[in-house]
Amino acid sequence: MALWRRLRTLVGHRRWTRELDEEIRLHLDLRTAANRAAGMTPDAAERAARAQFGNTAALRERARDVWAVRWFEALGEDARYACRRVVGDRGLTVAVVLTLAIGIGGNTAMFTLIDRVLFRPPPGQAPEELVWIATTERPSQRLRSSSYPDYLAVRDAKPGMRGVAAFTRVPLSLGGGMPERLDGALVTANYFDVLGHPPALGRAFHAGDDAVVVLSDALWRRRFGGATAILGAPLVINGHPMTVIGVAPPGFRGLEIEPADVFLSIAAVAVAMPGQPELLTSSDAAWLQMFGRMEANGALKRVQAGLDVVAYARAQTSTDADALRGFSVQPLRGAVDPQNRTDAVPVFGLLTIVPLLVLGVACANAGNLLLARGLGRNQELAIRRALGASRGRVVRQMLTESTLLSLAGGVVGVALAYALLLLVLRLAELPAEVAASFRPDVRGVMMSLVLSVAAVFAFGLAPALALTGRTHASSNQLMQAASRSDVARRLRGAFVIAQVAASCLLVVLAGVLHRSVATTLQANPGFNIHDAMALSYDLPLQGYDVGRRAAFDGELLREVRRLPQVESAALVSSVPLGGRFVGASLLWDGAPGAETGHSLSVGMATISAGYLTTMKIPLRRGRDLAEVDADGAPLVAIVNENLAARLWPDGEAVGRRLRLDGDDRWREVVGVAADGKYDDFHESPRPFVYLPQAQYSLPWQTLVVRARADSGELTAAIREIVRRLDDNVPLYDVMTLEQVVGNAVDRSRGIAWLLILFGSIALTLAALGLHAVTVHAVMLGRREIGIRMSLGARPSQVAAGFLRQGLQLASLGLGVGGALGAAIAMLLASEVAGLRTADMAPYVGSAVLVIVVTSVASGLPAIRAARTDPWKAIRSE
Amino acid sequence: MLDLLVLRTLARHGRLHGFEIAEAIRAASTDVLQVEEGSLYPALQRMMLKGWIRGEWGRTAENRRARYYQMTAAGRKRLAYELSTYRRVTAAITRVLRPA
Repeated sequence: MALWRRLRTLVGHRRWTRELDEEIRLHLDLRTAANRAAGMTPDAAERAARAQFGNTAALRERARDVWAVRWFEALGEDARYACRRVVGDRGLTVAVVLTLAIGIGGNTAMFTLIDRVLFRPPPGQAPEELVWIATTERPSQRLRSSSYPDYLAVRDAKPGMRGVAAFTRVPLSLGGGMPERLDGALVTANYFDVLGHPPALGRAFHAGDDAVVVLSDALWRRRFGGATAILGAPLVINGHPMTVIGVAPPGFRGLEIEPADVFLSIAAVAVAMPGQPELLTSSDAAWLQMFGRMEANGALKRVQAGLDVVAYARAQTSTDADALRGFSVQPLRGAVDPQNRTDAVPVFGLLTIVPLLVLGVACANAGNLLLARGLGRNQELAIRRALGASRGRVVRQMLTESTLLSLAGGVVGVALAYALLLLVLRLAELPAEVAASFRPDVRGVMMSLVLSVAAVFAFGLAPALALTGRTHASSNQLMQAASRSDVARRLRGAFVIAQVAASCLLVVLAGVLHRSVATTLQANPGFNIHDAMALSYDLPLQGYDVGRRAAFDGELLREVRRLPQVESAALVSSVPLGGRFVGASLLWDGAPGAETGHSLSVGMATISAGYLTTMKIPLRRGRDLAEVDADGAPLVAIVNENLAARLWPDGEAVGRRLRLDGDDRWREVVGVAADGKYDDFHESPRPFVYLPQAQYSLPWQTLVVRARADSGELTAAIREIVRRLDDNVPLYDVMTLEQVVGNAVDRSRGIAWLLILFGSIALTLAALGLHAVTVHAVMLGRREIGIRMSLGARPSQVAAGFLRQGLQLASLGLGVGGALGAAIAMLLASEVAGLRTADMAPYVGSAVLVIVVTSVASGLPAIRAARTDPWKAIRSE
Repeated sequence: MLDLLVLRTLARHGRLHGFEIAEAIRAASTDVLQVEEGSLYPALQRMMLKGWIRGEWGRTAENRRARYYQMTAAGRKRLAYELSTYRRVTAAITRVLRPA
């Protein structure tokens, strides 16, 4: 109750004061009247009354103190004062707020990222009831995905849980009209139910539903126009007719970050993953991710105990494989399944350190700035202390100011975090809807708030305590005391050098990488990228067996080659630099190694005849593959120069034999092709082998076409051919070879841009740090400046002096950073091909950038120093 | 101490404003207790905060606005408590100071 009364007077402060004043006045009047009635003169009566009453002002304060809301009011005063100061000293405010914004924003961005991936609870009702269930390998307790028998065992027992479901992600072909490749999900019938997100339209699956699908909201709107008549509509998945029975809620993304386009029931596994009948029966096929919803007041321990019982019971009755497996329940948070989460945690743990360091640097810079500015306010401080303000009060007021600055920094920081996340995710080339789920949310904002408050103590307390440490009679004494801390000055200088060095390092590396990327584009990837296209398709997904595939491929090639614009066409399992690099292990004859079983790791692709011609890959020796290299004919292979030089350095590769590890059939080398790039642009030369598609089968297929034609028209023509052969087969990843190569380069370019981004941020921080140090130096040397100027020094000389100091620090940082950058670049050059370390442009560019930025940073305070009025400076004691 | 005096005065007189309380104390103590009159007011504020008295604005006989104070039930309890404490302390002091 007392608290309530307290708050009431806090709010009605003015009224309270008025009432008390009225009461006191009445008392005095009555006392005066009584005195006059007792015979005193009016003046004496009044004086006596006042004397008897006591010190009105002090009494009023004591009365106020009773309510102990003083500290609230003091806070209000402090806040108002802080606002005035902050707005008044705009330059400093901007510098401090910006510094803190960088520190806080960086942490918020990292926090949002980590939170989304590792900690954020899934959306919907009662997310704390959801848990992951992983299968464990017994002796090692390593977590892995589950098999279908695993799922059945857990589902039937469901210890301590209301429901257990499972899912996996699969690519799917949507056929008919405009066939399309979709990112699908295969889910158990109770998937939507356990998640607590029933479909927005229609229904979820029943057990045994093998010919129905649930669409995602996005797919429904995009492809079917959002028509409500979608329920019951037919469609073709992987060549099989299906019916739409539902549409998922908008924005539904299950338990993952990337949403699925379409959902199929597990009963349809033969359609979704054809040719793998063992999926439903084998305990070794780990392809499902299980999760469950616990009972309303369930406990993880109970669930785990129940799962252990299930595992034990199974071990008694099952084969050896299952006897070695158990189950583990994990709380379901973030977007990573438990087996990957254990790997992700230490990586992210390390990542959090970087932004924290940056925040530390930012706080140090901000503290420096406040300290520097405080030195110039010593007079004001002395006056306040003389008027009776306690040290605690002054410190509190300074902390209020710091809090204001810090909160402002936090607000700007959240905006910065948003921008940073957008940039980084765009550079990582994530699709827009995925990037959207990484926006800073309430948790991120709370994090900013917490950091802001913590930062106040980090950067605001020390200067406040230092500045109010001893009342200095004169600024002179204070500055003497401050300059006596030479160590501190050197530390600050070293600190700035370190910051400049770090940012210089990043900028140099970014520059080197950027130059390399630019020149790499002109490098030869080993094939002609102009006037050529690549189009991929997936026949095994449609349930095609090897024979049907061969027939389809053959017919496709024939038809495409007949197109008038087409110069040449061929098939390959995956196009070089396309991101689908396949490796293999090779054994060979001819010393050394065939007997000993030495093997070589090589890249591999299967090709049709005419591939080398189509890609314009030069043939160095021997012959290209031909129609004669068919199924049943002698097994052949083509190798690249690198492989030939490694395995048969002395002589001729043509005629030698090799075989794949695990396959005892020998193949004869009939040709040697020129080297090229296969996986990415920065790889060192690697060995590669081509096998004829008729003699070895890989599940992927890409058609490459060389044609001097408009790519749009050509694509349409080829799509028509494919449609005639099977109108349910979609073409995907359709692009010109220039685009393929461009995408490969973009990945490296993305990293270069990231480095530039971080380098810029680091440089800004370093500039702010240098600014702080220069301001500090100017403040400290004010008296000296005054003296020198009055002795005849010109303002430009004064300014030049400070500028020189600043540039000295900067150049030291530049030197250290540049040297480190060069060292790292040279180290990387041995790993990464194409890194041009001899190119001077990045170094020169970085040096110029750093010098310009640091000149501005130390120049501004220097110019202000030059404008000092010498008399005021000397007299400011 | 002041609390005790104010509460006792209000118990005796019912409803008084600040000046009247000061006068009542002076009168009852026959001028022995001359407290700095102003210090009454912080004490009144404190007692209002603690809920022992209640203040209401009204008008004096001369039609001046004044805040009249009354004891509350909690105040009555407090008075009883303070009185008993006071009596105990006084008795103890008396015993100590008894002529040998």
